[in-house]
Amino acid sequence: MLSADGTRQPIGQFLVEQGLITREQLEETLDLKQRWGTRIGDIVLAKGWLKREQLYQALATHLDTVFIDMESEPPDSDLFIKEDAAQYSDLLVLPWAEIRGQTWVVAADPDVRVYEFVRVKFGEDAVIAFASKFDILTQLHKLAGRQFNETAVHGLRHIDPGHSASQVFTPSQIFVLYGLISVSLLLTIWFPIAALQTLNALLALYLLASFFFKYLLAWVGSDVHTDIKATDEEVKALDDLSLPLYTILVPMYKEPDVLPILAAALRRMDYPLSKLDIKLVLEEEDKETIAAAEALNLEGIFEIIRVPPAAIKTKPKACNFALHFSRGELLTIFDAEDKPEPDQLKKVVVAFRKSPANTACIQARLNYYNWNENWLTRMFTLEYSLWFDFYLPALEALKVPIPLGGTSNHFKMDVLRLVNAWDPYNVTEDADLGTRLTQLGYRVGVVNSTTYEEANTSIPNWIRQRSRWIKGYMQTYLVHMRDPIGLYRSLGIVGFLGFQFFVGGTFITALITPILYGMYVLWLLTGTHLLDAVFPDMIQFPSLINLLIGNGFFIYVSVLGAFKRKLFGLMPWALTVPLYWILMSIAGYKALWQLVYKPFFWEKTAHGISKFSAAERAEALKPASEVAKS
Amino acid sequence: MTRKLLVRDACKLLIGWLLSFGLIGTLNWWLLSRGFRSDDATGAFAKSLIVATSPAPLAKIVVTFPQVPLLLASVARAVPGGASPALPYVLGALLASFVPAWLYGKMRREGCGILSAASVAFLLTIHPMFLWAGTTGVENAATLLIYIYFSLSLLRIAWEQDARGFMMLAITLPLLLFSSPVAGLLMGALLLLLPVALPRSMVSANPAAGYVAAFVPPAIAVLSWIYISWIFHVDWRTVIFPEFSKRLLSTDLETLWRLNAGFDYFALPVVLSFFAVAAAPLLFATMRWTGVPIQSRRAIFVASLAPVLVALFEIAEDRLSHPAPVLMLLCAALIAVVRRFPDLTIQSPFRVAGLLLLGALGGAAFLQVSPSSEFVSWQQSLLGKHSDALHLPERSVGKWLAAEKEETILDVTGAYPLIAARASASHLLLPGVPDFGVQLQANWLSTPQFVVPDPATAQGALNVINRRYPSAYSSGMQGYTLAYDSDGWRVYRLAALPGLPASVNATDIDSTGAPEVWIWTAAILAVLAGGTALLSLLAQMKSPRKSVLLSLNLNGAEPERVESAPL
Repeated sequence: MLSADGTRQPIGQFLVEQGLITREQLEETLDLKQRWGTRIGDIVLAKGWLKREQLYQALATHLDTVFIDMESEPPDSDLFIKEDAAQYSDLLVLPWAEIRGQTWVVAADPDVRVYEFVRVKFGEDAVIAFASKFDILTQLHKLAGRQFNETAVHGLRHIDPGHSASQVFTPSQIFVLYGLISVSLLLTIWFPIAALQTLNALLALYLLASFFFKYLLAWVGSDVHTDIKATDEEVKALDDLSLPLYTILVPMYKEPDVLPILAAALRRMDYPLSKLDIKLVLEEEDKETIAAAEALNLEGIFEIIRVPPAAIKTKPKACNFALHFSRGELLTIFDAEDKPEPDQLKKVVVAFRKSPANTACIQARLNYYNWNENWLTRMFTLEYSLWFDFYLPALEALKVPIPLGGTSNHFKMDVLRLVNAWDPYNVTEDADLGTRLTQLGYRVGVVNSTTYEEANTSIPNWIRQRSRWIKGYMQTYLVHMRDPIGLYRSLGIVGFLGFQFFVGGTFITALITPILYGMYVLWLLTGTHLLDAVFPDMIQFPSLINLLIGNGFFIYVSVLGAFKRKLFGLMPWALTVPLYWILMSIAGYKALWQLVYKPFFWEKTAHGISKFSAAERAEALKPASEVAKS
Repeated sequence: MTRKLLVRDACKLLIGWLLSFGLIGTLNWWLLSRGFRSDDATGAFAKSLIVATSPAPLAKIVVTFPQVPLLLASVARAVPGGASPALPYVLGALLASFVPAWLYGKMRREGCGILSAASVAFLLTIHPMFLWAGTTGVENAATLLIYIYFSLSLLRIAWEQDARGFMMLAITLPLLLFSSPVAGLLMGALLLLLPVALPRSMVSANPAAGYVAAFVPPAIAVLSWIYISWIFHVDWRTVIFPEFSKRLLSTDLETLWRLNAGFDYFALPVVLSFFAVAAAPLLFATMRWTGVPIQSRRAIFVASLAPVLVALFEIAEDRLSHPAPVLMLLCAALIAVVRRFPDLTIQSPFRVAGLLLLGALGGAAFLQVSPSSEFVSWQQSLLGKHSDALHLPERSVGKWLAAEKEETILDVTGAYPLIAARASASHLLLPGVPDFGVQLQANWLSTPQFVVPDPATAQGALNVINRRYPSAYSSGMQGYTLAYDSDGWRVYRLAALPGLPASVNATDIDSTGAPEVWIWTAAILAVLAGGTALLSLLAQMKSPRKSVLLSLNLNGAEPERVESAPL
């Protein structure tokens, strides 16, 4: 809309005059615009001062173009070109209708790139109209959903089948496994003592080597200088103008209760809101959560991505689907119950800038806010403190592949797309992706920022979750060990051994320790001499070292995990951690069973069951004025 | 750091090691050729003989008695020529001489000038307690290294406040427990010191957590030891209540003596608290004088106070019969402080040098007034005099028994010189094997021979055979006759046994090991020189890639981080 003198009124002023925002809001918007370097429209949406429809209608009026409400006037599907779907998503454009020989194209953000694209694709006389980006995305879902879904499920399998877990065991793996079992059985029949001694010795040596490897990790990780340090000063020194657009994927399934908590946590992020591209990734069938998300009336930075159903229903598949709609330069994943530290995104930007150019991913640390709820949450917290505060920084320092944690891993978007993103068949897609990135020559780093999650409070729920993780580690191990020589060449000796002990060790230890403990308890209770032949001195001493020094070390390093996390009250609890290992083995055997019978089944972990969740939810739902008061 | 710089550092370290080993090795030879024998080295040699000839499997013994020096000595026996009394001395010199070289290298890396670093390393080397540790066998040298590590771990906890300090402590305390007679005292000192060393947030939130972090490893070590003892049918009470010890391989007499004299674990913290109050002002005054920055004071205070407390406790209780462990602990703390805070030397080199010199003189003066006959003998030998022969009666009995093939029961308390002189432990029935216990549980002994010391002496009073059979020394036992008597030691033999070995010449009873020390020292020097030459060659080799990395590194940029992501 032009003013009397023929110039176009500034959009901010226009919005004020239309009564859509107040003058104070305009002043704040202009201030933020200067600091953040984003547009006024993005800021007022991010702040939640305008509804999307209001803004886009106002923009259309202001620019003297047509606003198309695609909810009532959907696009002509015949105009949709499947091959261009990725560009539609990237540029937020969509061919809408053919009117009097002219193609009308709707765009949410018409800029030079969009004009160029429209000119090339639809001719010089194509007309560009305005539409809400959310309407465009919704229509893209409808028109390209199947196509995107197909890519999400089968993309990696088709492009890079060697790295896809869609085939659990390859024929050569089955052959080797069969051969090993057969030879072992035959040897056990022919030379029972020698065969059992050899097996026992191999197990003892594996556990011993695993202990030494973990000791090395703990030693390196215990040094305060090991971590990547994104200091507060460095974060403060960041210029908001230079910050990249950040996509946050939040895959959820049947978790309506934790939505307000998550939204509150994301709002608290110390990052220009208008540079956030937050996607709530929800299964299309999950009406309950979708309804809850809509009812929350979230600000414009939140988008709902409805994932169409497919043969497999896993988190990586949902994320792959959502990736088609993601526009950030960086991308991260948060789980529904996550509470990232507010400066995490900025710390990651600092960490990326300080890291070598081939760093593709930065993993933030995970821990639990309900650590002192019960024994299980305490154990879980100890484990995570050890894993994320000791082991992962050490893995990075030693250049061993880092099995990413399920959340708070921050990717460079271009690299993520280049490596075909997540494997939808792998139930620990993150661990797999970390290894794949390292194999492809990228680095994975760790940043000193924490995301707090809800620790499992119930043992059955914990076993469900843990069995999925262990199954995923088995899948990851099997995938990358299809070509052990190739793995060795791509990772080097340290990385290769690290993979064996860290990824392989996680499930191998869970599986073999009950057998060893079983034999031990049998001997302890009955004093039987049956096992004497299987434990000659040469095996007995490594086994004793494993039993006493190894287990002692793992208990102690759990103590130190709590120390490093500054959860001092948790340190004495570490003495009970052996009981937790029993649970781990139960989950390990369940995982093994599932690997054979239900390899791609995603055991859903229930969230929001902590006693803290209700309070968190109530706090999150409080009006802003009350929060400020409190 | 690039590989090339690492090679250069290793090369410098080797040169330093070569020089200091040459010095200490020569000193070793000098002392031994003048008749000096160290109790610890003799004990280590005797223990390695016991391990080598014990009916129990070697692995069983070394696991059951996880003494670090013993393990080293046992492994070294496998080297050709390793079954020599010289071996503990050579190993000790090798371990101790590493310290000045390491100290010099680290200080240079931290920016100390050559002169400052070399002076500090030299002044520490000539500290009497360092020389003592380096020339009296592998047990003392290993203990010194463990003490240094202990002090470094305390400094790290107090200074960096990270988990690494606790991991270092977790290694040190179990090692100390199984190798040092003052381990119990140190643990007591730690009880007091921990709140000072721990992060303040931890102390205010949960001070008990600090004790968990510090004491879980030694607790696990003790429990493991008890468990292993149980598996291998060794009395598990030994580690907690040494009066139950069969003392097969116990570190030395002092621990038993202290316990026997009424040592009370529970009184320890009280006594230490008293001395902590007394020692603290002195330490702070010293730190002010040397110009220690305020933020370093807490760390140094913690590391220094532990040995001071232990020393004062020992003095106060009038138990300083053999002050070596305590003085070595002080020396270790000094080394650790110098290593950790090289900037002190940079900022005030004369004050630090003065303090070190004062420490060396103080150590020498203390040796002069020490009642230990071993110290006296060492000093005499150091000054070139032929020292008084120590443990002549034991050595005489050992030499006499050397020709004897009959089984002889013997408690090891004070008997290591005897076993060392015998050069074998075969046909000796020693504590730690079931038969020994059987003999003590019977109404009378039934072995062909038994050896007992005079119960009027300290070692005689502790001897388990004397305790079981109080008149064994004075009148023997029914059916036995006195076969050999050597000034406080007697051998009784079944009267029915024929033929007695001839008596031995007391002045020429066994080798000091001096010639072997000389040969070994020369051989090791040759190996070190070869290694140094090899590393020098490696450091000279150039490859284009390495040169680039080196130049980048020297320019202050870390090669791996020169590129940055385009964000």
